[in-house]
Amino acid sequence: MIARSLEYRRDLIAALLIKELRARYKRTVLGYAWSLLNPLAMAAIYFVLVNRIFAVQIKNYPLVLVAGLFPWQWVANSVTSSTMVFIANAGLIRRTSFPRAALLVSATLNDLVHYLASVPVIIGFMLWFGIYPDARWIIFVPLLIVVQWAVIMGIAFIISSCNVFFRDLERITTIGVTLWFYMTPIIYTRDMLSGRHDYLLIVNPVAGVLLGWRSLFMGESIDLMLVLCSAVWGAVLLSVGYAFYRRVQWRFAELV
Amino acid sequence: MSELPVVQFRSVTKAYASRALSHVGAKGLITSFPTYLRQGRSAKFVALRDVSFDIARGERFAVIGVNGAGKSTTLALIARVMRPTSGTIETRGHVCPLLELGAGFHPDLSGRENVTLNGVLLGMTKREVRAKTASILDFAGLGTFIDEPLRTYSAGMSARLGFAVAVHLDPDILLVDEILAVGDASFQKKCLDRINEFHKRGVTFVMVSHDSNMVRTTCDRAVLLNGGSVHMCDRADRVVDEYHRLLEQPRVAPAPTVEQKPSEGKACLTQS
Repeated sequence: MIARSLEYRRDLIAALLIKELRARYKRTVLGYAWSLLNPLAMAAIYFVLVNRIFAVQIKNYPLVLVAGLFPWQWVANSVTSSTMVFIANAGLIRRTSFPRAALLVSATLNDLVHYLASVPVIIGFMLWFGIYPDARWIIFVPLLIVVQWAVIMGIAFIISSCNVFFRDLERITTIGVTLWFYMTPIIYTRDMLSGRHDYLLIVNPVAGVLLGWRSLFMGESIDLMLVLCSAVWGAVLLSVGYAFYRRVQWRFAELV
Repeated sequence: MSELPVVQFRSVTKAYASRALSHVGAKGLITSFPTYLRQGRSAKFVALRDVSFDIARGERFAVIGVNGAGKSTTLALIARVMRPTSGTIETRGHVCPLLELGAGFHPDLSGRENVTLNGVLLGMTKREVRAKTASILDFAGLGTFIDEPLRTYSAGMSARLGFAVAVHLDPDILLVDEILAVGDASFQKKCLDRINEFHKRGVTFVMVSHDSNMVRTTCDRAVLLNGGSVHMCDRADRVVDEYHRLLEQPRVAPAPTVEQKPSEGKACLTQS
């Protein structure tokens, strides 16, 4: 029975994921390319703004930008779209009793797939700046994925469940994600916090993992303490988020 | 009938919390928040009130009543997507809800892809769906349309596909909400044949329908809900007669009561 239940959960997540992947860009001309063009356009804008207009010199700034923006896209897309996950599937939730968490898992994995599909672009930038992927990737790519996914899922559990009861949260999340973006070293480097604001890296659940990705892509040494900090955040958020979801999920059917 | 009933409602009451807070807006929130805290949580819309009935194994059972009488809530409670506010519901066996038209189907996926998705959402593993796909597609009888995206389908065609998946789920209890109305005559006959075949195998069939003839000819027993309460529960033909009698009397079936109306009066009614 347990084996069938596990097989079922895997199949459910896979079926929902395939639906998301196949349906997202199906009727657009550029299709999948949109998931690359979005962060690339943002990178271009910030490059012109910071490097040309503000004339702030940051070494290898185009690479700094893509190495931060692409993994950030996963956070931003998953957290933003998670607010609507249960509401968008109201028909299903009202009629069937499948585990609702599968909707969240497949949505966040969908954004992970898009992120992974964009890694070749990052590698392209790396090669342009004469940096090559190294052996650390074998350990750190899976590790950073797990840590980042735990943080994202924990937050997604909380806000998607709350949004069923309090729809204003969707708008608040949009603003919150923008604020979060500027509080994370994505368009600027860690050094620019100039030591005085280092606490921001500790209170921000994704700062450690995003700096980890950037160091990995730039061939620099990874700050393991900060990655550990993100991992702790991930464990806490995931347990709290899941517990909260478990407590309230039985009411979704009557509220979505 | 000595066997235990497969569905058992005992004094079931289902009240929906009216979402007063989200309906009052910001100004109302400030002015009426103290009131909300005091009373808001008790503002309820009662969809079912003290409902009790049994459904025996292998029965073909109909739930009828005017819009808002609590029919869909009843099905949702049997399917365990909701919990009752008070009372108990017991079900024995694998309950399978037949999805509302289009729910669970994705318009941009083909019919074939939707069969897999739908089957998994309804509780089959991929392996189980794969083993039955040929039979499902054969039952749906959509020909070459099966590889076209679902948005090109008519309502009747999606209903055929939905029903085709549902009848392959090996349910012990099959729940059907107002879905057979859209198929054409030949498909309706096919569905009825399948329902009869299920009936012979001992599958219990619970349907919500406004089609009196269908209830009369396919169902053994029925319950008539009125304003959330059981008005009558008896042989299907008698209940249908009573339903018609009820409909002819003006204002006997009042609009469902909302205890303590939210300020904009939008009670969250179940769709039916």
